[in-house]
Amino acid sequence: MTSIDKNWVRRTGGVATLISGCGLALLLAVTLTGCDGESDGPNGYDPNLRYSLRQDAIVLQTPNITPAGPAPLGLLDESITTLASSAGGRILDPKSLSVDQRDQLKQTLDILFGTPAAPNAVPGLDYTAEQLAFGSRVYRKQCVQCHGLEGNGRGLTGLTIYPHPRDFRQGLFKTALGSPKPTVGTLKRVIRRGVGAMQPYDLLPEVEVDAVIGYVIHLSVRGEVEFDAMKQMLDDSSDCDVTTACHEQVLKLSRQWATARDVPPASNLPVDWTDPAYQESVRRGHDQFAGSQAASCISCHVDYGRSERYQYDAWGTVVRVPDLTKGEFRWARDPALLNAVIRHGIPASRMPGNPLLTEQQLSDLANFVREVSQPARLPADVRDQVYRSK
Amino acid sequence: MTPTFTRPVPRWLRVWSILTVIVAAAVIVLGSLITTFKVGMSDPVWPTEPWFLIVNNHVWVDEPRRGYLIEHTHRLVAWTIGVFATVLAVGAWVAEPDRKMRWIGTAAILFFLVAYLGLHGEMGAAWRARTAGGELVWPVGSAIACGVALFVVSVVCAMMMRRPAVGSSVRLLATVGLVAVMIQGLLGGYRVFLDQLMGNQLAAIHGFFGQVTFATLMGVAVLTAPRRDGDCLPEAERAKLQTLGVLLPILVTCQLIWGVWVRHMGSPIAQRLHILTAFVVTGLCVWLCVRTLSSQASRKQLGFYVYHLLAVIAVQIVLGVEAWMGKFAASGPSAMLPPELRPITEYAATVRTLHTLIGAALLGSTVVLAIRILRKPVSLTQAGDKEPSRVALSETIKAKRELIAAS
Repeated sequence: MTSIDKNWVRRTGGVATLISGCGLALLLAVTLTGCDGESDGPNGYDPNLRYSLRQDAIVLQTPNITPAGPAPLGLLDESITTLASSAGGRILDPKSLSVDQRDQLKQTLDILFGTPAAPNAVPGLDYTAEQLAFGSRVYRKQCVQCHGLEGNGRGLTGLTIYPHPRDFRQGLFKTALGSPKPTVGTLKRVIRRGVGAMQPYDLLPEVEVDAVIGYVIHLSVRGEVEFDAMKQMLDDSSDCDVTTACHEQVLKLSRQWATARDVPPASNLPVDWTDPAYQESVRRGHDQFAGSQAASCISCHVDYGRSERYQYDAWGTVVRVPDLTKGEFRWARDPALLNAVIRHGIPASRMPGNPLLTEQQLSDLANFVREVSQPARLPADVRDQVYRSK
Repeated sequence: MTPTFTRPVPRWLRVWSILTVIVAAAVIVLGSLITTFKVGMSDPVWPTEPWFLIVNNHVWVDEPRRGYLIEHTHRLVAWTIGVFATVLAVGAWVAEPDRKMRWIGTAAILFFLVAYLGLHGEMGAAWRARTAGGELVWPVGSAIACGVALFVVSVVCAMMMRRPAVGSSVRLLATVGLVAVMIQGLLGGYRVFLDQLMGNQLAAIHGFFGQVTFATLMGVAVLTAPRRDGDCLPEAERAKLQTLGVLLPILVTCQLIWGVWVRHMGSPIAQRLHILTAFVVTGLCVWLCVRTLSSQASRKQLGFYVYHLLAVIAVQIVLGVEAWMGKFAASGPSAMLPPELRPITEYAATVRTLHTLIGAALLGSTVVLAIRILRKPVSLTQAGDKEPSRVALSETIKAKRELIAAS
């Protein structure tokens, strides 16, 4: 190779390095100096983004039949739309509202509740606009993929998982035991421990959990006000003053949230399952579970839940009755909470309560339900009855 | 007579390395689908056993939760790539000519694997304790053991590279590939385990590191190829191309970082950087290709690789434009939503997945080209094959016949 060739190689190699270096420097400069344009701030929403008005069907009454199984994933709204054609099913279609009605409702809701980036404080609830804005950012980071922008349970991930994520817009919560709304403590317990397909958020800082609970309540109140207003507008042919109705509804719901009854605190006392008195309690609990009087849980939890039985819940989605022999408790595993669930039922899932049971009967039933998934801890005669055919 | 070619590692290991790349591509496709459909947290439980999906879902088609199915198939194939990478690394070390080094290297790899599985098992115990309402206890002991094992593996590799033998580079890169696969597995797991604290960030790192791991495994596959006399560039040609050859994978890596940033965070800065770097990468790529093809010697050696690279980058640009339009261009009600909340069509999912896969292939191609550019001549007299393979024998016989015919 001649010296000219070597120089040429060196020169061109140097040029390549120079240009590439410039490119990298440019990229670095762009990174460091901004060119930012993050109009929505870190983890926040675009200020121009607005909550959408409800489009999916409002379920007034679910059919009186037992569904064959859950709706195919991704087709939740389509399956809810078909409920009207089944016996007893009744739905309303928000799309049938006139443009004027929709505009009026949207405007009222926007004024009352603000935007996802800047939610307004709801009168009667102890959350400031700043707390809600922070909660909105946490919600976007942790919850929106499943629960959706408006809390409709129709986030992108929510479409592909089962059980479906909770739709907050009707103000219904399965964890509300004995009162229309759950308490902040109950919601915190669900978030911290997880439920169904939802992971336990046990590592989140307390301040973020508090903020996101505030925002969930905000979304729930907004959704319920929208739900009731739409129901009124669609169901009632007479003209109604939407703005006044929404304001009144906000005050009513705020009172409900403020007076929510707390569920019993978690009790993790160890249970001596070998104690003859405890075994006798489990036996009595089984009698109530399987008997035709008192609770008679077995009419729904057929074969102790092993028989795949589905039913409609208040949202029009299909839920499966838990298989108790597999220890499926959703969130109510500890004794005090299980007692409360049996006492008050889960109205949103159509599980009836048992207000007439005595404390002793309640405790017996809860003891049986807690132990049924562990055959070794059941009395021999009860074990034979529960597992004899297996 | 001097043999005309040599194998750095046994033939079966070359086939295995190619299979490993194919399995790695499958993992990337599934991982990309998870990100596209946002189903990374469809099962919040981690770790799970390799056979989890098979045991819990007897018939996969009956599984109604699509996200759950994709996520667990990804985990299953990820376990498979772990097995493939393990066999690849152990196989490469077993092929080490120096007997003492062979045993040390194999033992170091096995030590690393045991420590890793210990860490994995303890993470399972930590998860169970956490879901039972207890405190999260980090498996510090296992993590330290893993760190020590990694250090030992590094020292052994350094010892080997002090006196390199045939196939040393394969052993080195296969070991790096194994460690990368294991780290990638942990990243994926912690992406689930720590989702509430840093899920999105860890998901982004997991996505990026997966592509780097894929490129590493591609590099291993190239290094396992038989070496022939004169299968490298002349010194002058190498000097001409090596700067560009090394710069290109670095730039593609930057581009991947911006791409992952766009995909997981959607940041406006990342959007700008991803577009700008695409121009720079394309320009540099074309420049390298032109310089390579302008010389007879380099064209002969690297022609195939260069044309392959041009084809990959052309496809990637088209896919990039389509993916961009699918993600950021919207009309109607979707336009009101942030990009991450817009409904995903099957077409958009396909394009994004292909864009991710071809992005990984692009990085791998640039790494392969860099390896080919930097490759030094091999001394065929230090061939590792004590017993010549059938190809070597046939070539030797052919040469003898030619010699006889000529005389």
